[in-house]
Amino acid sequence: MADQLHKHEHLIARLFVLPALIGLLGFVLLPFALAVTLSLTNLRLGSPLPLEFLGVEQYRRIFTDYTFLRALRNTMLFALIIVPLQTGLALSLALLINQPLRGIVVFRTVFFMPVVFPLSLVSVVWVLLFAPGSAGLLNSLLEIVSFGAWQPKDFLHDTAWALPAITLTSVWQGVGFQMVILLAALQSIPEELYQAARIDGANRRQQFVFITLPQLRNALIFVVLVTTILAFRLFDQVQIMTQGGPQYATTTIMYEAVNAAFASQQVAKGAAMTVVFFVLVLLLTLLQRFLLRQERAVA
Amino acid sequence: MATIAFNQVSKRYDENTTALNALSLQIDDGEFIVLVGPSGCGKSTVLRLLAGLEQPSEGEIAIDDKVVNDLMPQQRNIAMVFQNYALYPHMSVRDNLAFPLRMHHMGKQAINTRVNEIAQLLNLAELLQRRPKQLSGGQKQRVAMGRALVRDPSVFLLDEPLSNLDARLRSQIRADIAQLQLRLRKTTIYVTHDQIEAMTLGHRVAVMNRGELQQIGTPEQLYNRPQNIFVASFIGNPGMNIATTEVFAQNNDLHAAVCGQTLHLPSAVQGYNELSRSENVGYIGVRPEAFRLSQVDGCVALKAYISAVEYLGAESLVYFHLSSHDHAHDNTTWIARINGHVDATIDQSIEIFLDPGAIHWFNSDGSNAIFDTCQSVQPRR
Repeated sequence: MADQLHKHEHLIARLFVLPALIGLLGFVLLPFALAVTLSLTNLRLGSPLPLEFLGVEQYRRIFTDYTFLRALRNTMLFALIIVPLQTGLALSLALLINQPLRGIVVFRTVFFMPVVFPLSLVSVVWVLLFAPGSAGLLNSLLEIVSFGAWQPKDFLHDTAWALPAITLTSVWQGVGFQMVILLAALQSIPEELYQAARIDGANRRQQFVFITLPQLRNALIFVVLVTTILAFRLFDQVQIMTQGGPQYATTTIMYEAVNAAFASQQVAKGAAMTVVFFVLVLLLTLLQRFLLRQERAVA
Repeated sequence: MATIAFNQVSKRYDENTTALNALSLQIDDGEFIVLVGPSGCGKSTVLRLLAGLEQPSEGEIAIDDKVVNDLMPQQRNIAMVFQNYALYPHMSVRDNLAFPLRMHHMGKQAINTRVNEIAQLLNLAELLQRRPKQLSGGQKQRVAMGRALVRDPSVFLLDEPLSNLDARLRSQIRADIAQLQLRLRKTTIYVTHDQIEAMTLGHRVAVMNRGELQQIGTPEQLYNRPQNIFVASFIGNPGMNIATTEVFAQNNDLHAAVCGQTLHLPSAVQGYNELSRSENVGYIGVRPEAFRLSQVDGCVALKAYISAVEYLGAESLVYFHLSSHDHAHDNTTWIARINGHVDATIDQSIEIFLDPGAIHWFNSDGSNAIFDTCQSVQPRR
């Protein structure tokens, strides 16, 4: 009797899981399987050549393709810069915002606002800010604060400045999100821990190092991981602000993949790039899981 | 080792919220003081002011005759055990114990030795590698005590340290704390709302209510000579019976009218002279344990209408009224604490006896009419 009930419950449980499972299969696993399969062929839309199985040929091709390697390098460089920059900035903002001051809500809202703007809109606004010549907003601002020492730059068409410009846009747009997560984590740290630490003789810096940082550990790991994954997905800003240029200085994996699949219609090549992208993100996720599990094991 | 002095210390949060009002208190070196009172009475505020976690609005706080108002908690050499222990959850027990020492730049070797000493003292040696999450309530409590003791503070503050423990553990750790304090002879201030902890632990007990110190004295003083009605009813379990009364002289003798009955007070009664001179007496107070069911020499008799009897094993609590339901002048419920089993039924009326010397008399403003008990703000020497 109890056994039957148990079986019955199992059945119901499975029924509840089903919708999510179907979604996962249809929208994640199936497309990924297709991408892997396609990446092993020579599929190119509108090509007169017959469909052929090429094995890892597409991977060999993209890994010897200067553009893709450049995209890989740009993506990693972007992630390498933006992750510590954005996390650090988000933490500083969160610490500032966490003060019990009058009107702090206004600042919290202002800092968070860019997050709710669509990236494409943000990009267009920043294209205007980055406008070349001394009439450009950023250029003229820099000219004023440097008392005319600043030489106007064409940020988005300068190989040295294009990627930093995109980085700046991304930080401005994204930092509010990380800030809110860290702020929530900060506010969940019991006030008593700080009181105990003060009585135990910890000064402000020691309280930050020995209480705040360890207590933020999981939130920080989460923020770093999410920022990294978002950084790897860099596409919108590139598409709107620079189209990968100048001279591939701002091209990214996602930009190349979309370009290959939809602009040059080399579907197989694009698929291979997304698979590479997937593997990278998977590795990052596993790393996070590993770090978090370590924490749980000792906690 | 340290003496502590509060001099007219007040804490106000805004115009309408006074957490502490003009507290003056001297605490001797090595003394164990318990602050007791209902929640919101300002007792925790006293601790937090002394710890430096809050700033007084007025007055001076001195440790060892040095005013510490402007010192940070870090500079006061005090240690505190928090109600929720406030152990650092990301550190092992060992690191928790070592933390205050590390903050004071003690060498690694010395830290290890000291931590092991404390672990030995508090029976924590087996737990050193664990995280706070893996400890039971009693163990956490011991770690919190250890962290407070480890760097040899001059003042030891405990903020309701036993309130999160179950009853059995509470009485055990209560005994441990008393023993530890006796051994270490540290000036200790202990905050609790539990009068049993207060009476058993404190050399002196300070009873607080609504931000004001009501009385400070030894447990005996508080029990036998409460300064006002609040202290009288707060100390003791169940608290003192309080009722309005009118004292009048008749045929050269004093009488007290209580709930429709009259008590004859013989001139041999303690406080008779004060009572005969006073014109303000408005309340009578009788401890539940002052009642008895059998007549003893010198006792006066009252007629009691029993409303309930609670048998607790070694004793019984008898709830009664002094007037019957029919003509209820006053429906104050009195409680008598009687040894052993009481064989009585509800609504039965019995004779209950009372030694008039055990009666407390209070003025209409609530202060004690007989004893002037303002004496013990200074520590006993």
